[in-house]
Amino acid sequence: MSEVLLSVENMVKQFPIKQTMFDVIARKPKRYVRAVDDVSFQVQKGETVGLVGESGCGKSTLAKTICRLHSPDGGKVVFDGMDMFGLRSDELRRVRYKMQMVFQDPYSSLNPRMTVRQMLTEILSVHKLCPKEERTARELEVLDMVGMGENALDRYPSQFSGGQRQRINIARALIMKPDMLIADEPVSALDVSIQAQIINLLIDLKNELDLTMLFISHDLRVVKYISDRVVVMYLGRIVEMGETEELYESPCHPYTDILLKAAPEVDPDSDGGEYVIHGETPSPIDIPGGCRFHPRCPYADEKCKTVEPPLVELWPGRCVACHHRLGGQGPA
Amino acid sequence: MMREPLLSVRELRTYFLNNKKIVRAVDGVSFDVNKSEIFGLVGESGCGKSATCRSLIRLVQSTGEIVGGEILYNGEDIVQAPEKRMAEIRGREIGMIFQEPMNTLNPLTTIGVQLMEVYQRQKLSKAEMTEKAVEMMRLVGIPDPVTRLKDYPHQFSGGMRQRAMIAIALAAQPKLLLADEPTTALDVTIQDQIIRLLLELREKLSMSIILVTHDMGVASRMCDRIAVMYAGRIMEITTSHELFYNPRHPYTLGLMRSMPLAGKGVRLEPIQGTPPDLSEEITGCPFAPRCKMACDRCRTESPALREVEPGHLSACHRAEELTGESFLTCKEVQ
Repeated sequence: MSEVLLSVENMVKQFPIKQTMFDVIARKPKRYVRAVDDVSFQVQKGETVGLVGESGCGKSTLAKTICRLHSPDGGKVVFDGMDMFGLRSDELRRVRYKMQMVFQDPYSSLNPRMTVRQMLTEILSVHKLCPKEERTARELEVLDMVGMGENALDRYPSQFSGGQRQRINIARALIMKPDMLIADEPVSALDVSIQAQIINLLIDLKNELDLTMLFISHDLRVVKYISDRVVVMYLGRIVEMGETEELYESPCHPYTDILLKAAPEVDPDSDGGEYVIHGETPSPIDIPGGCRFHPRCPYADEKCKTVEPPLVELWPGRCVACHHRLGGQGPA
Repeated sequence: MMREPLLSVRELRTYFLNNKKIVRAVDGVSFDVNKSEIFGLVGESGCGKSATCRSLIRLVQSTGEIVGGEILYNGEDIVQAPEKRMAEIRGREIGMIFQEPMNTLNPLTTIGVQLMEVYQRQKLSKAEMTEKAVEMMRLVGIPDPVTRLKDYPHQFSGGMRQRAMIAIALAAQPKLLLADEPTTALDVTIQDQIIRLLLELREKLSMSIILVTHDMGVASRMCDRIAVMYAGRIMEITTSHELFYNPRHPYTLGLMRSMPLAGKGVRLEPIQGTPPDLSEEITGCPFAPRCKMACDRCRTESPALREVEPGHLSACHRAEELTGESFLTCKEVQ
């Protein structure tokens, strides 16, 4: 049995809504957006977990809170046996380099005024990872890993294309020799042909360096291709999780089912099926009572409007939060 | 009998001036759009698909200019038409919707005012205008249209804003709708709703649509025919079925192989390299430096868009050698 590298337990992250002067005078209670609401899951060492959901479902907030880029409002994150939320900032710095992030936008996540060498050197010196005289060698090593040459070292981000910048972003994360990579929509801003290059690169690096990866994306095709397991989120909660193949073959939650059917298949003969989803994701400020998905769910009944379904384990590895789960088949 | 095309574009060239360099964003593009047809322009960013689309109603950014070619709309050349005539064509004959509706709707006036603006030229009374606006809102599936007319764009959600944009674009009953990445900014479930809406409206109003998209999935769902663009030129035009089952251009095939269609473990085959810089002179085929099939002829002689099979055009010297490959072969190798 493989060991658990990352364990998220009942994590809550909420953001206060700005109050107007009138609200303050009238002493209205502060309201919050519960971006991540009681989320628990585990990532085993060496696996790739895909996190999917539509915009505003809390997937990016979840990722940032795991790294403590946001301070959490509840719950626990245990990474490699250490409680991330209990660490002091100097301790956190020592732990954090084991867990690195790659962000979506390759344009805004690199400092335009720093050369690639400056960026990489800064990381090495801040974390005192290697002696001065070995720095250049280490920098060249990671650039080589992401398929870039020595001539990239003294150039600025503006001199690279989107795909190359994303390679630099990955190099920047890898220079720390992390155990885990959290990739937040790493290929969403790229064109298909470049996207494929980066996906191949991530898979190769994962195998070579024995990385564990949390891969966040709204693109279901990419997630299916890259992940071992998939976690589906809706309005701050996990609605379903399970093995990738199994989950795509037989989704148990109506939302997963709809999400999979709505993604246009590359097939000129497909008419998209008869399935239509009505309505839009409600605002996370006014989360519907009962099951969060009930206003849009074709199977919703009275119970769904009042009782929130808990996330239950159907069989080892497969969890779903629904009163009327679809007939997913257990593993043969 | 050959049907008369609604729109016929011949050798269109739109160049931009960037840092004193000429960027050939659209470089000799030719295609026809038939009546009540959905025609797709697909390609990666910077391939000139949006510039082509904007050229069709002469709304190119100020640094760009249509430098050659003709755009025949119902036999009338749009490139040569006086500005006054263009104002009539825009909206009334050819409507347009954009990717990000928040940037194209006026945030300071209500949706109702923006929608009714379209009817002002028809000299209708206020009551008639409101009635027509409500009818339009209902057509695009905005619930509770009477009250929603009084709302401002920020009170609409992303999907509803796109519906409002479509309502405004269709209010003057154009015969051709230009849709530039209409679903790219939306979530998949909302994207599905907008795709269904556009398909339904095409049937109801029997209008033609030119759909610009980078998403092969959306293109395959919606389009009757698809043109694949690369470096300002058209690489291939054919029906969407043919394009996916029998692509005749290495670039089209490259795009399909780049998509994760097959199961895990089947390695993706990305197209190596990056697209060419359009501010530099390109000799030969623009795709040749990235093409696995490129030969000497490809590097020196630019291939013309030619008919390789009835109704199937490809700009590749070696199109005949590409047979029996399709997205299905990419999908099924397991």
